[in-house]
Amino acid sequence: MNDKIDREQLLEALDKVGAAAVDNRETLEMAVYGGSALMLASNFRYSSEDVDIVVLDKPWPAWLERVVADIAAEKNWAKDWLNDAVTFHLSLLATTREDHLEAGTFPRCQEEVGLKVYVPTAAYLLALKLKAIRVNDPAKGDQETADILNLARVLNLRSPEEALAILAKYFPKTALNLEKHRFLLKHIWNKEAGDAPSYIG
Amino acid sequence: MRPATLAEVAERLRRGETNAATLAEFLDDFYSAKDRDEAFAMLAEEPAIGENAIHDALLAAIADYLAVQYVGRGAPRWTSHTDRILAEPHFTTSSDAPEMKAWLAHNSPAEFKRHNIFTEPRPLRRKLSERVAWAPRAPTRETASRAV
Repeated sequence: MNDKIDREQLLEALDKVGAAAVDNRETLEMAVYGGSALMLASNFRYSSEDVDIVVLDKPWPAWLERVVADIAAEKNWAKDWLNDAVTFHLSLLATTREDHLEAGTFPRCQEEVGLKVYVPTAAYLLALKLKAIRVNDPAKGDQETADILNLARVLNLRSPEEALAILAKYFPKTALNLEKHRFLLKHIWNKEAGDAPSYIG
Repeated sequence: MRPATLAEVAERLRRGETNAATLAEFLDDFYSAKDRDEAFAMLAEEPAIGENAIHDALLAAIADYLAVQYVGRGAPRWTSHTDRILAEPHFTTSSDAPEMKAWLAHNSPAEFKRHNIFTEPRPLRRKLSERVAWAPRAPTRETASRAV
């Protein structure tokens, strides 16, 4: 069995989280990153192994732990399919208001909102991917290359330098030495990416 | 279920599942192992030799790298079999540029070079790979602290 989560499965899972929030009389705000953000916001990513999130402005409520475990059991997903391990990699300079977009409210077919989901802007997501720049990784290199190029096309970037300026905006410490990033980016820049990539916003 | 061992990874690759997803799932479990013994056990069983020589060598390089760099032990014995060393060098890049190959040849970890595979300096990174509690010397370098 493959554990990959596709867009429809992700939306169903978020519906369940939203419904649980309503049951617990809460409205949860969550930012989604990585491949799952691309699934929600773009037309060029179709699956992810897990869902990287940060719960905004509050610690994880106990009911969220329970509903995540229930969904994992129901769908036979890893128990940490929803996790906040990405927190360590985020930019301290990014803000919810300036650098994220609302991607939807959940449950979708219900008036009462339990969950608001945000995704990073295309620029912030590109910066996150450029910081890691895993374009030659034996496991994820091709996927990472495609994601970076598609985001660059969405943003109408004309050169690697424009992409590196975005990286520097969010990660100025990384930008102190961009020699490796510049070299790698230069060598993937003209590769073919997706057809007419788009991103919300 | 996620593949619990590299032997299971090999089986899934043989069934046609993608390299990227299968390895990513395995790595997430590896970096989440509760201790070094559990992590090493995930590498210890020899994956069956398949029809794809690159996969056969790549799995050995991965076991070699994870065992040395994360678990802090020698590579499992099966990784040194001649079937696990490519006859021709393999570069984990979609670029044909000679300078990219030269860069990978220079920067690739020794555990990959031993299998005639040339990759990035810190391959197999996942969100958890820099925070493995049991690793005596996880390869962290510049991203060890939250970089802004």
